[in-house]
Amino acid sequence: MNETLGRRIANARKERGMTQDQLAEKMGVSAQAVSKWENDQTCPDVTLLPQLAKLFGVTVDELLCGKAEPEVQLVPQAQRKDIKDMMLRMKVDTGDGDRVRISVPMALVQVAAETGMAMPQVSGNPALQQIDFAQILSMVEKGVMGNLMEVETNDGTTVYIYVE
Amino acid sequence: MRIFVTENGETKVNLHLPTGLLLNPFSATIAPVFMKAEDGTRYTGEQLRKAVQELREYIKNHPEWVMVEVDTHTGGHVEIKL
Repeated sequence: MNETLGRRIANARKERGMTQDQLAEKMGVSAQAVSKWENDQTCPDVTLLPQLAKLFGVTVDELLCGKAEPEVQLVPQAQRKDIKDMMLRMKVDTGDGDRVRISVPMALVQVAAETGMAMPQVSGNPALQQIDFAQILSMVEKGVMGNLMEVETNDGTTVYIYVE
Repeated sequence: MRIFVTENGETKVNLHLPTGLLLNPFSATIAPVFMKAEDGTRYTGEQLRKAVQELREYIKNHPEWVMVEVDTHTGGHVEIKL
């Protein structure tokens, strides 16, 4: 997946439950500077990269180049997580440069499937309207994890669906 | 529930609502009266009660969960956290 440095910083920060203000304070910069990093308007000073990588628990390489996306994999029964701890993630990157991230607990998808509840359309994007959540649940129950679906539309929008 | 909107690093909306007020058996029971999906689908109180129950349990175990996050190319950022 083609992610920028700014997006990796934003994702890493959010995964750790930090606000831009908190990150700015730890890095000794202003919150506006962090905002500019995350929006790819500027890059962090090269001397800050080791500190930033250490704070996020990654290497500078991973921060700059990113980790490989999780490929689809079949997890053996003994190593599978409880479905209540799994998350269905949808990433939409539009051709205009907008990005949408939606996370839905798999437990909710399971309830929807069990009670015959139709999942609402999660956005107006046509690429998301035909997603068969029951099929995704069925795959996950069989141990399929990682990047389940990748759709590219002719207007440059890319949709990724993965389970982790 | 927290709805957080910024524009170029400047906070525009920072709204905190008690999650228990929105996600409870009573709201799940009355919600079907007002709630209709875009495709016309209506949900029953039973379906929503189960969904609310699962959501609350998930939030309890994963307080850091961010449900929706939108970044616009113009520098806007929206975050919805339950």
